[in-house]
Amino acid sequence: MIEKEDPVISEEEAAQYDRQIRLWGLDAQKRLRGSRVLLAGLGGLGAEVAKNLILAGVKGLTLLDHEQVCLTGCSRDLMIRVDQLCSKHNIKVFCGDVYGYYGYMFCNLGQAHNYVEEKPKVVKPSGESNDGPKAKKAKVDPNETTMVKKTASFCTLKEALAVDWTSEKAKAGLKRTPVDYFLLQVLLKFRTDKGRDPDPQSFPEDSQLLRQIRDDVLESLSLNSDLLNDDFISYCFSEMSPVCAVVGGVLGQEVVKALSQRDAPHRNFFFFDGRKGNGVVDYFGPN
Amino acid sequence: MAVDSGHRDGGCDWDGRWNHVKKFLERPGPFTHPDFEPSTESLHFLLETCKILVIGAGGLGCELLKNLALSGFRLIHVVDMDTIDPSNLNRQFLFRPNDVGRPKAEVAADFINSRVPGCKVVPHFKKIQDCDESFYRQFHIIVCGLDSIIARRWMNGMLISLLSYEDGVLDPSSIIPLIDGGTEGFKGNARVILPGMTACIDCTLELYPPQINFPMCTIASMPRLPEHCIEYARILQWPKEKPFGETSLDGDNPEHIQWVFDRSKERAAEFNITGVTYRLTQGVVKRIIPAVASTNAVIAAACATEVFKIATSAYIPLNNYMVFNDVDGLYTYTFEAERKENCSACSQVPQDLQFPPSAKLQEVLEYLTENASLQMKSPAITTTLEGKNKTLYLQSVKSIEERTRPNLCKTLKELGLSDGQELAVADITTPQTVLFKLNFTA
Repeated sequence: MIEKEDPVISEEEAAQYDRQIRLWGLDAQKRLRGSRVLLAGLGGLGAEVAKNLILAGVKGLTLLDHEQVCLTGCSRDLMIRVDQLCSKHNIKVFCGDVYGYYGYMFCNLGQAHNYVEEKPKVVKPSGESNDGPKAKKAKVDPNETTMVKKTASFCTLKEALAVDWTSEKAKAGLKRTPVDYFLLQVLLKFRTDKGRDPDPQSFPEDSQLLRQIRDDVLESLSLNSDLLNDDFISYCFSEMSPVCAVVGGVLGQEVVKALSQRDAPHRNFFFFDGRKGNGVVDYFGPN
Repeated sequence: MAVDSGHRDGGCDWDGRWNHVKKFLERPGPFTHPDFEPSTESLHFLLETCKILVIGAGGLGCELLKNLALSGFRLIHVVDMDTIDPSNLNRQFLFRPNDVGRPKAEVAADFINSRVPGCKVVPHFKKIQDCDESFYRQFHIIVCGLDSIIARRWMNGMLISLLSYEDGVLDPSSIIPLIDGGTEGFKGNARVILPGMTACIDCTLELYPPQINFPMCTIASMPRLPEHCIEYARILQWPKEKPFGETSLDGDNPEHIQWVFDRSKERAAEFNITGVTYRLTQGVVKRIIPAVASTNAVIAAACATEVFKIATSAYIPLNNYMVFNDVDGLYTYTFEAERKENCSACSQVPQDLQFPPSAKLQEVLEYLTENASLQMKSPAITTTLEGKNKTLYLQSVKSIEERTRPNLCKTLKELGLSDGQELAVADITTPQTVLFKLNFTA
């Protein structure tokens, strides 16, 4: 996107960019000076391109890398840090991953996310009618809609992942809690410990480790280890593309909704189980 | 050639640091040199022993230092006689605004040494001519990012002078490969020179485009371009009007440029020529060459790749001259430049000077400067007469110039020269004197 107003090239800049202004002219340099570039991918090539663009004198360069930059990748810790940083600056955060047949999406849209919902207009019945009980019912007019303003509040990823299950209330709610949440905790721990996701090439060792981590995680949450049975182990390796499509579709749409501030966001997790074909939205966080 | 023994790296290599380099050196591949055997020795050589000299720490030099340091070369020396100017900052990315005024070699070395753990760049803030044989002899490979043809020829001549021949056969261990890169705006070239074996700089001297010097008649009476008006002010009006007294025109003095600019505008108005700007005036007076980061990145990358290939012997080097041009679309072409049989720099063939005995020394001088294969700048000619060394003409020292000037009008016969006489010619284009044999024609 290039700014509409003519950027001013200072005397200092004219000296600094002199040698290339002689190559492509002052007008071109001004246009460069007003443009913002998004650079996706920060491998060896990305680094060189970044250097050349910055030296050319663009106004802004936004760096985007979908790949895991450090060994532990988008570890739990990194996600929590990014989430906290974004919350501070009112930047909406979305996280998501696919592990084999299982996928999840999390979002933190801030403490007061305003949005509108288009709802059909409700026609209130007039009080004087004597037509009977039917007439007293509010009629819904399907042809007319109205925009209803709403607000939703979100907690941080840290809070969402640190729910305390030891209280009586929490324990009581366990039955209605999607087990996917605990599966996510196990897989995030695997990623933190091993610096990678379960790898089909190391199936026996990784399976063993997953089982162990499941036991450890549930124990640390003071929960019974049979809450999450061994089944999941064979089905959480690699990334199944149909699952990616589903989770990716939902996540994408959530981003659109959040940016456009229209329609109710999923609050705050979406879990997808590709084996059962189940998708569930649920809230995890402080009450 | 004598080389330093390697030093320990001090344990600064984290796990996997050189994986990208190992992929080239520790496993076979379809593009490797036919004699290549994967081993861990090459990487070790790069890290501990291989000594590279980078000439120039400017547009190409910064890129070269980055590429070499990140590829595992740790023993690097860099020579540059210049200090940093604000106009360098659009491409010489090892420098920052508050480095302006500092020596390029030193700032570049500091930056790389702090940025790339284990890399030891040694800077030399001096001219290449200020370093001697023993300095150059210590390097395995020399890579140039120079901005002048004269300097290139000098470097070329220096490496040729290091060659040793035994019974007329070249000793391969005396060869120091020279990788030379050059850029101008959107154009550039990279070449590999094995002195004594492949085409050298002087073998292909005619390839360099002539410097733009407008004919005097155009400047004086028939200007068409804004540049002609500027040259008129610079060459004719300045010496005549002496606007700042005896001071010669200084391209870095804004007052001088302003004066030339004002005079140029007047002349342009007389001839209805548009386009005279302050920027153009500066460019013409200072002979500024446009430059941009991207061309330097491409050419330096090509050069650094050749350094890598030659240092490791793992891949067949560029054979031997690559041109690059992205003015319009992108064009690149590689060809094998051939050695010149009688190259004045590398052929070892005595250079022939064919003149009648009645020719004046002036004519010999003109030949040496104007001949396309010689293109000397200000040759000094000496010879041996009656067992004694005699300077026939030398321009660079005022007293000697005045003393020998009368010789220019004398004939070769009058100067006492005979058929077959050897003339030794020195010039800034070569570190060694060139021997010429006088061949009298009828």
